[in-house]
Amino acid sequence: MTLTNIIIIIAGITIIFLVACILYLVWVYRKLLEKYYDLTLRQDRSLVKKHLDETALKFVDAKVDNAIAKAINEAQDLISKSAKDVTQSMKRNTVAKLVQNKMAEEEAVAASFDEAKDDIEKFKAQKFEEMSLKANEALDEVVKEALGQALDKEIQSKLVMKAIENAKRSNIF
Amino acid sequence: MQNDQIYSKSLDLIQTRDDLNLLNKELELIEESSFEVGKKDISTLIRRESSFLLGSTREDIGKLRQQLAKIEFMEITFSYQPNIKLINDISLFINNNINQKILIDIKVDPMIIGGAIISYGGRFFDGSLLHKLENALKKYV
Repeated sequence: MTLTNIIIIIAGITIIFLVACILYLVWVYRKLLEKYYDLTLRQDRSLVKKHLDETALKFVDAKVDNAIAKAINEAQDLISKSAKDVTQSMKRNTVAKLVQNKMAEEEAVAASFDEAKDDIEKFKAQKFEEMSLKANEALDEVVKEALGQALDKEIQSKLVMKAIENAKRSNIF
Repeated sequence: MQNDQIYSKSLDLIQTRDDLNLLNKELELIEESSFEVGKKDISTLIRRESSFLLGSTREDIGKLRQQLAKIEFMEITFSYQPNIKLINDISLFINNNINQKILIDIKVDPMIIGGAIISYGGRFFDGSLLHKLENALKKYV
């Protein structure tokens, strides 16, 4: 075996070695590249997921917050409205009750007043009757005494004729 | 003078219930006197003669008494006993206003003071001074 052959063999081996190294390096590079790619992708996915999670959480939170706020508002509105209705109802009932009480009170007062008025009227009528009777009696006596003696026959006759004429006018005959 | 005229005159003369009672009593006595032949007292004789002069029969007197029974009365209450003039005036006034013979039934009540209370045919009119005074007093008391 010649040197040349040996060199060629060595060169061949070297070349093969180098090619193998190159191939190995390429393979390693590709592996690394794949690994890096996977790593990047995974990281991206994680980030996306994280982002999505955060976004979703924010969205959900916002929705929940909105829903809670809306519910609170509605509840407040409902409570306010109910409270208003209840207040108005209570007010109406109270006013109605007060009016009723007032009316009952007024009726009672009116009844008492009427009763008192009736009593006063009765008392007045009784006193008036008594006074009237006494006055009539007194005046009758005085007038009879005075006129009975003062009226002469001529005046008496005229009074009688006038009474007869008035009776005729009143269609007594 | 005819009997009818005499009776009409008799009716004109009576004005009150007392007059009617008196006339009725007189007619009764005249009727009785025509039968009392034996009685010799002066009033019976006068009535008997009057009856003959008038030519009255019992039938005529009976008719007159029937007419008298139909006469209506107007009750008038006075405060005093009215005199004949007043009765005449009232009778004239009444008979001028009513187309039939009406006699006055006189009542006296001094309590009415003056005027008169008239009652006729179920109707009543208080024209007394007492009534007027009572009405006047009611206004002031």
